[in-house]
Amino acid sequence: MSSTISDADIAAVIDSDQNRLVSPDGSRVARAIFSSEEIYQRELAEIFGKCWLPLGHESQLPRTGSFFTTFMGEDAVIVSRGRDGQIRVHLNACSHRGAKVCLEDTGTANTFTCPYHAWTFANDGRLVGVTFEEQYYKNPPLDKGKLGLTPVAQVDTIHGMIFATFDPNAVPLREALGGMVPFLDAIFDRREGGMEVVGQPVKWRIPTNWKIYQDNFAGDEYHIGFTHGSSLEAIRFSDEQFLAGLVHCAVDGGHGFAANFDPPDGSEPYLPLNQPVEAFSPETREYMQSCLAEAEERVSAIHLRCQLAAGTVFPNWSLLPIFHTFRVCHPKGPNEIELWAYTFVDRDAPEHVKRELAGYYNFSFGPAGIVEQDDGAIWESITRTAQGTQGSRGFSSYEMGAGTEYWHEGLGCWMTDKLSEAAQRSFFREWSRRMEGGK
Amino acid sequence: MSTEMLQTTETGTCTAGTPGELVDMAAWFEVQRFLTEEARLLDHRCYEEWLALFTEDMRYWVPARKVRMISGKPGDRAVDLELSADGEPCVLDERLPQLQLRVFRMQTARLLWCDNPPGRVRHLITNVEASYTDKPDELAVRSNFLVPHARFDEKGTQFHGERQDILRRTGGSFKIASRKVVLDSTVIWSPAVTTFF
Repeated sequence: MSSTISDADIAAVIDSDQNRLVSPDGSRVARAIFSSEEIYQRELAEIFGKCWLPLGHESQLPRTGSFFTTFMGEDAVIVSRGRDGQIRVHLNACSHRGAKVCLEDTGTANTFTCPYHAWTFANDGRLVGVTFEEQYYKNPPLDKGKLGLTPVAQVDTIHGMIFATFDPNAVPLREALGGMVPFLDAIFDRREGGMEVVGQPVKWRIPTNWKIYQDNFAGDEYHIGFTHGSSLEAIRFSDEQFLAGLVHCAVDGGHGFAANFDPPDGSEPYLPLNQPVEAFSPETREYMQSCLAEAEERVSAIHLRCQLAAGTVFPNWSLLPIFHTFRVCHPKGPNEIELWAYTFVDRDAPEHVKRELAGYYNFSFGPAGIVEQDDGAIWESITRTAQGTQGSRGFSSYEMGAGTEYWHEGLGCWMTDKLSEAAQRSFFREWSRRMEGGK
Repeated sequence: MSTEMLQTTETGTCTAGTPGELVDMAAWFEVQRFLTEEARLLDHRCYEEWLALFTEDMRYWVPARKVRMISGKPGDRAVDLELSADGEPCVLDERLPQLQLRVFRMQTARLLWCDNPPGRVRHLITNVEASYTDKPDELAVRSNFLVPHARFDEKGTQFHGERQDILRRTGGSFKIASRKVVLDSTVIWSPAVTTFF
C-alpha cells in the first residue's frame, strides 16, 4: 500500500472536524478506511475486540460435547457445549505453545488434544492432561488450573443465536442489540420452537474490505437494478416496483436495514417474510399461511409488518431472511473477507417444507448465485482504488436522503420513507464512535 | 463390442455390461471425446451449445465441503463424509430450468458485471473412468478437473476436484443426466463462480 497512516494521523483526522474519517452525520467517509492496514489493526482491537460477535446457532450444538469452530475477528475460537449443557467459547490455541487444539469445522468431543505435545483440554476449557507430567513437571510443578484454554469474556444467546465478546465491560447482548431486538423477534421468533440452522455454512472469499460488504448489506438497495441488471432481467424482477415499496431503517448502535413496511391498520394480514410465494409448492405456501396467526400472537404487530429485507447488525452479522439465510463476515486483513452463509428454517416445519425453503437460496445467492456473483468484483475494485495514493485521500458519498431520517416511535428506530443511505450512515457513525474508543 | 453396443443402445435393448465394470477402449474413447468437446464449449463460452448436452431431467449439484477428522474405522475416510448431504446448504443444486436461466443471462451480456469483461477459463479434464451401470443406456463416468480462471489483469484462481457424471446415450452420442461436482476446497477462493465444472 502506497499510503500509510500512523496512529497519530488517525488521532489527528478523528480529532479534526474538517478532516474526520467519517463526517458527524456519516454521509462522508474517507476512502482510506477501506484499505489502510493501520486502521484495520485498530478495528481488530476496538471493534472485533470489543463488540458482541455472532458465532452461530444453538442448533449446531445438539448434544453435550457438540462443538463447532469459527472466528472472532482473526482469532480462531471453539464453541462447545459442556457436560453441564452450557455453551462456552475459547480461543482455539493451546496454552502451551499456541497450536490449534481443534482441527475440525464441527463434531462431538469431550476433550481436545493438541497435536504438538498432546496437552489435553476438557470441552469446558480445563487443562486435564499434560504429557509426561509425572516425569518432567515435578519440579517445578505445573499449575494446571491456570493453563486452561483462554475463554472469551462473555457469551450469550438470542433466539438461539450465539454471540460472544472479548470485552468484559461490554453491555449485555440485548442492550447492545437494543432496537434491533423486536425486528429479530419478527424473523427468528415467529413460531414456538424458533428456528434451526441446516447443515454447515457455505464459505467463500472476496478480496474486499469488510466494511464495503457490511455497508452494502446494511442498506444499499440503490445498486440492485444496475449491478444485478442481468439477473433481474432473467428472473423478470421489477426493480422499480421493489424500490417503491422500500423504507430504510437505522437502529441505534450502527444497525440498519431495508424493509417492506405496511403499518398495521387491522385489515391486512402481513405476508410471511415477504416471500415471493409463487416460487413455492402449494404445500409450502399452505405452511407459510398457517404460521400467520401464531406470529401475530408472539411478535409485535408493527414489527411484524416492517419486514427486514436485507440488513446489517453491527459489526459483521448480515441478514437476508427472505432467502432464509444469515451471514457472518470474517475479516482477513484490510483487503479480504471470508463470508459464511448459513441457512435457517423454522424448527417445527415439516421436512419437505424445510427442504424447499432451504433450497430456495442457492440459485440467487452465495458464491454461485446469479445475483450475488455481480457484487464481488465491484467491491474488490473499491478496495483497489482506495489503495492508490490519490484514491486513499478521497471520500465516499453516503448523502442520499441525508437529514431526512425521522424517529419512528412505534418501531423504535430512525427511518426514511423511501430509498436512502440512512442505514449506511448509521453503520459508519457507530464505526467512528467505536474507533474513537466508544465515546 | 463397442459398435455392437452403440447399435443395440439405439434400439433401446442393449444390456451394456456388468454394472460397475469399466467400459472397453472404444466406449472409453467416446466418453473422452465427449468430455473434451464439452470442455471446449465452456472454454469458448458456447453456453447454449453446452446446455444442449444435458437431458431434460438433469441435475447439476456442487455440494459444500467441510473439514473433518477421520478415524481408523473402515469407511471413515470416504470423501462423501466431508460433503454436504442432499438437501443441505451447498454451492449449487440446479435443474434444467435454473441452468437455462443462467445461460440466458450469460448470453445477454448486458449488465453482466460478474463476467463482462469475461473471465478466461481452461477446463483441463483428466483421469476419465467410465463404467457400466444397471441401466443399459447409462454410463457412470468419473473425471478430475483443474479449471484455472483469470479475469481483468489479475492472476486469478484455480478450481479443482472430481466430477461424477451419469452419461445417457442418445443417438450416436451422450447427454449428461447428472453431474455431481466434488470441489477440493472448503472455502471457495473466488468472489464469484461464473464458470461450470
